[in-house]
Amino acid sequence: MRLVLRRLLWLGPTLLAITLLSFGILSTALPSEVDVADLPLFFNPEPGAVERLATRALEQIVTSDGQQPEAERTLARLGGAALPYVLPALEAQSPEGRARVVKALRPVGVRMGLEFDEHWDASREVLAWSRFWEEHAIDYRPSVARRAVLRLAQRSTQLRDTEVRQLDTYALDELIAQMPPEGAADLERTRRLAQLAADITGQLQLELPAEAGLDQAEGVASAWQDWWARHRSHYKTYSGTERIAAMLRDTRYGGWVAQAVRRKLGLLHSGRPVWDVLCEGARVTLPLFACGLLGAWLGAVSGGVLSSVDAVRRARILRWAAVASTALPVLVLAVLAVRWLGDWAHHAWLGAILMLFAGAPVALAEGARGAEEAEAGFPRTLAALGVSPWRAGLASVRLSSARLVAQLGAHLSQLLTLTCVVESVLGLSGLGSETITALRDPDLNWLMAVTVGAALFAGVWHVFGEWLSNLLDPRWLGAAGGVGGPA
Amino acid sequence: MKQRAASPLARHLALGFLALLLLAGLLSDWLAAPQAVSAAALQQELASATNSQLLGWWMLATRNVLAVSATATLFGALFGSALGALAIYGSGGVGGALSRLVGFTGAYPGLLLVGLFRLGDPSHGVLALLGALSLLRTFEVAQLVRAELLHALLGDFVEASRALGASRRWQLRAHVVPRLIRPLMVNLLQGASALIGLEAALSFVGLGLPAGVPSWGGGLAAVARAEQALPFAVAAASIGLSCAVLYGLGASFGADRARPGGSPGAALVPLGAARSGS
Repeated sequence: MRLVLRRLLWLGPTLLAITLLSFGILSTALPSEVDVADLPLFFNPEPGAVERLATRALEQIVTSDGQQPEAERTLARLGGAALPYVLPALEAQSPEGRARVVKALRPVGVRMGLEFDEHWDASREVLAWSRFWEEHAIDYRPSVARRAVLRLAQRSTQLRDTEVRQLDTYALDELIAQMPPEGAADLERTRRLAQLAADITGQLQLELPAEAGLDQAEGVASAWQDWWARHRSHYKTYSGTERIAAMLRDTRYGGWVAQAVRRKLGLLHSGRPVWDVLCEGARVTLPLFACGLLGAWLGAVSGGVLSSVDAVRRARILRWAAVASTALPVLVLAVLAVRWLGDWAHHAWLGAILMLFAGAPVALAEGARGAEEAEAGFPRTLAALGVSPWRAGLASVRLSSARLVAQLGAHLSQLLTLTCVVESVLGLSGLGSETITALRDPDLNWLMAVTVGAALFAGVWHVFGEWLSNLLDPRWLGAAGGVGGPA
Repeated sequence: MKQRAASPLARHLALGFLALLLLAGLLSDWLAAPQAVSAAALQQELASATNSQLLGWWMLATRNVLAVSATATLFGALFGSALGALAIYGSGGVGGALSRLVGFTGAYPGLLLVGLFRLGDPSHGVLALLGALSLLRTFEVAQLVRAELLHALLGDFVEASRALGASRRWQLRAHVVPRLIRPLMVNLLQGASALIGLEAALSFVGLGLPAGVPSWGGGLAAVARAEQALPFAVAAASIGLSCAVLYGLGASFGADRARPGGSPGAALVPLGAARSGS
């Protein structure tokens, strides 16, 4: 039992290592989404980049003689979140530099509802921004932003709307945090906040339509949370423990973990949560896989029983049976079934029969081997003690099961692959079919989910197999220890 | 125990079949060259292929399948033997880690492994398939070699030879290596049989050899719903017969193998060790 507990405790770190490794491989191999491409994979040494981005954009705009469209776009995108770093620095710039900066800030001002006339000269615009900052610098604090958004969330008025709009991207964190609806009564609040966030960021596709229901509102709120997880680092600065947490959170891996926790292991390309598809697929795949295991167990047990009756002759029969069963691969049988039965082949019961057959060769081979060894082993001792052959056969069921559990570990990979292939050939919508589809048209969330799931299964099976083998035949652990096994 | 050797006729037939496959693979470039269509088109239009085109496709597919299976088997044998031999020096560390790694990869779906390898494969499938199949074989062979070496090195006859002054090198040459060769050969033959089945299954679902490269699994997928029975029969029989012949050959070597006492404990050697019939 101590061995089992020790192995189970190791499962956590092992799984973490596997998710890191798998995510690294998949993220490197698959083309990145455009909006996460600039995020580091696992560790973000400089989270909260708004100050750095704003200052750099300001310097580029000020120092260049000509236009700096990229820097201007950056400043416009950063919006209100950049103002605490741009406006105080405006005084120190040359008049030409100030003029270029306020020109770059014009889209931000328009978004914030500030009344700028496009015919104004630059100095007047600079003056307007300076006055704005004198009056509103105190508003650019997290507590003020939070209060403003809460007031707007409670009830919409023109004044409250203006308050939040003037904070622009500085209020995004609170806007998105307040967005998820708790019930049908919150639909209006979600719609209002989503509308405002869409106006600020230009993500008009994330608005909530007027006739939307609760499910759609939850979906929009989740979509905004996903968006914020990917872009948060551009609009915020962190300090203290929050900065340390952000070093891990504001990464592609952190984004995947957050999405997996929030959205049932993430969303597929089809928009469905991975967990829902996993549950649906498992209803098909697990019974098929269980049939494969059952076929192997039945083969092993019958082999064990037969071997105890007449070891030498049965060994030959079992060996020939194993060879014959390998001559009829389950893939060929499945394709034959589809050819002959047509639409009738698309049934889970046919898959179950095929999987019973798929598991058998493994066990028959082991049975043949057991039969050869039986003459000198346990059944011979029983025979010498006067036990009838069939009773000796029954006694060997337990030993055969122990042997199978020990051996099956090496064949599970093949059995799982065959389960997926049988599903695919018969057109059953299980985990295998979905995985094959996700491998052909790579879907990071599904591949991560099945990778972690398969790793978890492999780890648990490894522990379970050792425990069960030891339970069925305590000599196993000693024998395994003798050849460098778990003991 | 009186050993009953496998039927020589069956073994000769099996070896003959393998020789035929090898010959077909070796001559495929020469015999399949006169085909008017490319190899990719040959496989795609297999359902309507003429007999000579079918023969050409079969030879090319045989060559490719044999190349993949033999390469993965060879890599598995080389790296697995080296890894298994090294692992006996670390009872708790390297050996324990190897045992867990084998246990883990044994239960990890090969399909997923190949698929993940494929995503970063510049050759669109060939290297990924070879890499994944070789990896699967390597760990299995490593566990077998480790188990067999430990089994032999802990034997009384090795202790006795040591007491008589035999060097470690002599012990390895006289006692250990001869006891390792046969189970390894059995494992490699039966492993190659499993690899052919796995490659066919992966190619069938489009995750094996690239679509333009003829293979038995890919051909089976191309004619799965075709009216003509001959191309289907050729593809299916190639997979089934090859698997059975390799498996049967391995089993016959395993049956011939002289076994020590055969205590129940020794019979329960875990994981890949027992697969060979050790």
